[in-house]
Amino acid sequence: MTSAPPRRRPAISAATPEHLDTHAMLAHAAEVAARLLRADGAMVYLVADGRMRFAVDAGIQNPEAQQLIRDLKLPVGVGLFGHAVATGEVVVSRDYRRDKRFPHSPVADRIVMIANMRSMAAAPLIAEGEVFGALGAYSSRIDDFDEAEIALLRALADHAAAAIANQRLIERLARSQEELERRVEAQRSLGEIAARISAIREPDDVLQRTLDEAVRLLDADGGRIELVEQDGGLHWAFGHSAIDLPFEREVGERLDVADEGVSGRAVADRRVVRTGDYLTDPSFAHAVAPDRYIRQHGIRSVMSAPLIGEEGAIGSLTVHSQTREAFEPADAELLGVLASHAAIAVTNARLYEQLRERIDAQQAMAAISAEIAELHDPAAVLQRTVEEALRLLRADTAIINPLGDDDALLGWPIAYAPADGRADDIPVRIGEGISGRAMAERRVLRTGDYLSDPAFEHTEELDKYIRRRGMTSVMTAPLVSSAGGLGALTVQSARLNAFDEGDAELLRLLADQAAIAITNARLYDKLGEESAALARQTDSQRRLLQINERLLSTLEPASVLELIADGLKSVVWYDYLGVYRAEHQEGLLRPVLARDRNAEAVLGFPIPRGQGVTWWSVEHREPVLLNDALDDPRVIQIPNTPDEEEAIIIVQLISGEEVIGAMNIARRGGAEVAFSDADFELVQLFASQAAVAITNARLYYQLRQRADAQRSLAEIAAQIASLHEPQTVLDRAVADAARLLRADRAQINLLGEGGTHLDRPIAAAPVPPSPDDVIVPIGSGIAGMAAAQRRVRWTGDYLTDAEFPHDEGDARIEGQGIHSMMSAPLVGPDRLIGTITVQATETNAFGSGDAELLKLLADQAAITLTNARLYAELEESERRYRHLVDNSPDIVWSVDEAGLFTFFSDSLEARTGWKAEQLLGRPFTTLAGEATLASAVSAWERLQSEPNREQRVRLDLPLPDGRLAQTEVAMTGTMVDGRFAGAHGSVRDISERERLEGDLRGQAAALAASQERAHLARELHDSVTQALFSMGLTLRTLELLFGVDDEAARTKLVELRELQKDALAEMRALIFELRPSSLESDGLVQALRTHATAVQRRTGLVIVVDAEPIDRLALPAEEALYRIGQEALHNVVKHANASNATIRILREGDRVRLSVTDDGAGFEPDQVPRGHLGLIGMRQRVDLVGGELRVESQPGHGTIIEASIPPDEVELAE
Amino acid sequence: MPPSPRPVLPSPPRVVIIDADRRVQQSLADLLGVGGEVDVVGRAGDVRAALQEVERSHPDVVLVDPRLPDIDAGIALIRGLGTAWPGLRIVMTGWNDTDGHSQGDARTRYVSKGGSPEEFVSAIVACCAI
Repeated sequence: MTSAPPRRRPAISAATPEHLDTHAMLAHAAEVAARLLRADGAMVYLVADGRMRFAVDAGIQNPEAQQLIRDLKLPVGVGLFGHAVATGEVVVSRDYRRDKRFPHSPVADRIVMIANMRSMAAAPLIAEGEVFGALGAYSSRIDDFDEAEIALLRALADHAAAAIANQRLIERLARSQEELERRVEAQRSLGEIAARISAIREPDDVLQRTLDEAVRLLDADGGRIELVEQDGGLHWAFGHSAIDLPFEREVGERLDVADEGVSGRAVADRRVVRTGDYLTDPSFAHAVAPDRYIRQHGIRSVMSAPLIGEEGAIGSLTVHSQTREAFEPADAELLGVLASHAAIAVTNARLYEQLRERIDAQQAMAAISAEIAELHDPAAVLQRTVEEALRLLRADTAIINPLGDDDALLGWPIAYAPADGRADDIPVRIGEGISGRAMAERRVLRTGDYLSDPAFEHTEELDKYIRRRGMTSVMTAPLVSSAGGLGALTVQSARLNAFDEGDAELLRLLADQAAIAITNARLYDKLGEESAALARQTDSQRRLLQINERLLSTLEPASVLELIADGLKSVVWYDYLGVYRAEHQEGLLRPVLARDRNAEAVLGFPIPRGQGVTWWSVEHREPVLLNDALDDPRVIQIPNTPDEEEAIIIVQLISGEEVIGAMNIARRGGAEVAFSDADFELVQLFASQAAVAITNARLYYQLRQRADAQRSLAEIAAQIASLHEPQTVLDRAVADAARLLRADRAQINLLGEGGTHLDRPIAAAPVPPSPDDVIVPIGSGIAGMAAAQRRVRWTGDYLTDAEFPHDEGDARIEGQGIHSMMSAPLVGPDRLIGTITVQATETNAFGSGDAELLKLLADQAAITLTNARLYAELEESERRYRHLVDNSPDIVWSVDEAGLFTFFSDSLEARTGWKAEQLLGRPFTTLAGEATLASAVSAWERLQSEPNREQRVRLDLPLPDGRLAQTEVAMTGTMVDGRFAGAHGSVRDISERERLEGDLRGQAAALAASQERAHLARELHDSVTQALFSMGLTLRTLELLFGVDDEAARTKLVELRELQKDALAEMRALIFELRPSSLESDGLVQALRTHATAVQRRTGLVIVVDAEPIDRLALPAEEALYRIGQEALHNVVKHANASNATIRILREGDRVRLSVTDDGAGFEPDQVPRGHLGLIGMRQRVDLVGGELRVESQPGHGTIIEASIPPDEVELAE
Repeated sequence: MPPSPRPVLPSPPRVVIIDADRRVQQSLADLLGVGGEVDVVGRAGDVRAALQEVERSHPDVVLVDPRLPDIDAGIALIRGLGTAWPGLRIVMTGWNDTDGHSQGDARTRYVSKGGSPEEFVSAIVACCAI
């Protein structure tokens, strides 16, 4: 480092005498040397720039000598001091002026002379092996310094040199610290700058900010930013302040990147370039303008860093200083970092700007699309399009020219932005200019410099227009619809190369939108031009379609005709319409529909063959239009209709080849009501539609009858499955009753609280239960009597029937006009449940057959309600039990280490009747009943050995009255200082739980018993009774056959014997069911075989019993399996609709397994309603013997019921 | 019940017997067939078979015990038959013994199994005469 700028770098140097400390030190050294050597004076010279310079002196009095010596500069080696420095040795001269050992300097000699110096000695100042000066003394006497004095001088010089060296080191350290601080500050500034510029969204702001920071940080006098433009040159963009102006050039003037100036070199080489003296530096190319600028502003140092973006250099950042060599490598580094930060920020800012433009464009497109959807006025959309094009593309002009009718010319603009300057626009021929060519080629075209672009055909007129408008860039997108070209959307800009590829894309989108708008508007116009006749045509088509659609949901041919009549009237007005069915065999046209005028007369008169114009039309298969019916000889007069002027249309209804009828319409009046040809055509259209519809409806009706038969089967299955919801069943019962008994109302009333009356209906049909319904006292009215007498009662005319006690309910009956009533009691196994009652306004509506039917429905409802009630009770008791257990408070207690009670919670007395004071201090065994004393004691012992482990025991707790309460005790030990110190715990009364569990078991048993009774009744009914009935019938048959056909009679006798055997077998089986103990004698397998045989004989279901020989089981297990098998078979018969069933009994390991499989309808096991007693009953049975029940079924794939009994139960028998 | 004069029909009514018990089907068929006043054209023991039989033979009358074996199945069947074949006459039978009358409307009659065997024939003939 040679010459640092003083402002930034204070000129401190170890060898600089101006520095106070160094100077004082040297002065002191010189003074000491003069004194100690008893010399006349002493001096110090220092080496600077290869020459000796006087530094300090002591003792020189002569003013001339002083003046001379201050300015003295001697080359090293000249003079005594120079000699000392050159040799690095102490040199002594006895007489300076005569000493020839060193070259003399005239100035020095002159000083020596006038200061009267004779003897002189000089010692070099040496530090770090380098001679940087010399200390010497002189005397006016010759040979004045002795050996000792010379040595002293050397010592003084060494000392001073060492001190100066130290001082230098100290200063160097200080300087490096300063440098460090400067770097730290630069880094900090960089960080801050980076953060600041990253937040800036305007590229220009980023660059300006970076430039300002660079100038500040580098202590520069100024700087500038130049940017690479499209022409590849560097262009002055802006400077640091008012003094940093362009190089006397216009904005946009370029500087060659490759070789001009420091910034050109920096961009070309992509590195920071600096010069310490611009004008004399040959390492870069000089250009005239920059050099002149440098010279004018006295600039010496210049440093420039390239701005490198993602796609190459985007410009340069340059700083300059009037100081020579102002910038160091570290500064270059700093500038480089700043430049790269700036480049990144600019890139980001540009991306951000693009993004914003893109979003902007999309929003504009969306807005235009939305407008197009709403607007039928193309002008508004087109205006919007040009405005958006102007804004989004930053154009100076945007226009839309329409394509002329002959496709040869783009006409005067129809949309223009901005609003002024429109008058000078001109039409363009296709193929000429940018817009004409874009239109011809059907694609977007653009030019960055219109006038000089040879890529398209110029015309004088167009070029003049562009020149006049001052436009440079032009871009056009054609407006094209599916029908062809519509026009062109053109944007223009005064800027060079104003539009790029992205702009072209955007313009194309805008043009597409505009094209859609115009197309839509044209279509809309066309639509508006449709004639009224066309609209009517559309309307009638629509009506026909509607009719067709409705026909699909209409089943009755009659309502099809009504539909057609309605539809026709809305299209062709008429005041009479008739439809006839042709009955060819009878020779009649039979009226099936007549509308409006004379309808009744028409319906009453089938037209005989050959009469009238309708028959004529049918026979000739020709539609007829008569606007002057009175004058036509074919017309006949329908009886009972007035003879008047009318217009008639008659058309045939043809299905396939056959004329199935005719339709005619008429208007009364003269020429003013005449039908037009269009009317005639429409009526024919409707007629053919009607014929097709009638045919379809007939077919559909037949089809539906078939489908109904099939569907009723599915309905039946579904209904059977849904029988388990009581309300559903009751609703169905009343609905069935009302329908089957043809009643006006059917209702079910339940027996009310206290058994004194029947509540309001729980179910009623077809009118649902209402608050108007009355409560009926038992014994009063039909229902009350049926309930009281528990039999079906009915009357043909209630109000006059004296057989029934009447009450205030009569008023209601009378008000509703009811005469006939019938009521049947709903009787459960042990009590009356309610009644089912039917009512009719007719007298004598119900008879004894109806009574049978009502009784059947009543029985069914009663069974359903009984089962539902049992279930509800079971659920209720379970719920109550849960409540009690959950709410039963525990008793909390503690004992000491001896087992004596020390505490009871308050619940003690309430739960047990003991008072705490009766028990405190007594041993815990007091509360252990005899039977459980041992387990209480052993729990206590376990607690002492393992206090932390909870113990649970069941305890019979003696109550004050001597009874025992069943309790469960939980306890843990108490530890004090690691020793067992007693115990605490809780007592829970479980007697209630035990009782409730017992009750629950009882309930379940009662339910099972009730089911069994119901099952038995069913079996009796289904089997023995039927056999006996058959016997009765066969006996009667025999009576009739005897004497007529004895052979047949004999056969019947054999059959009779079979029937009797069956009846006997079934009786036995039933008795067997009543007394399951007989299972004990026959065994499970045999018992199931007998049962299966009986079922098979009765129902025809083929049942295979597949049993391996197994040992007898415990009776409960056998009974459970038997009942499960029985119930499963019953289900197969009742629900499965199966043809085969298999019962398997086998032993698997130590378990016994029973399965019943069928090939019937199956069901969804998850969807079996809760109330399905069969499955639940089976489960209860297996649960009782600890077994498992598995049900496997799916709709359409049969069912497997499998019960498996565990070894415990199996072993018991052995 | 006063004995009603039995109407004379042009041809014997065609009957399908529907009863869950095959023995009852057989004995009813025998009895109805022996006098020649009724033509038994089919028999069925469950709902599905009943529907198939009616569709196959198009009887004038079905004689049906609605316990098939559930009364609900039978009632649903009767309703289904009424819907699908509106002209079909139905004679219901069963075991409820209030009184032995077979009476009802044109479409449905009831004959108790507890009554006299002749009542089956007269009920079938009577409902066809209307």
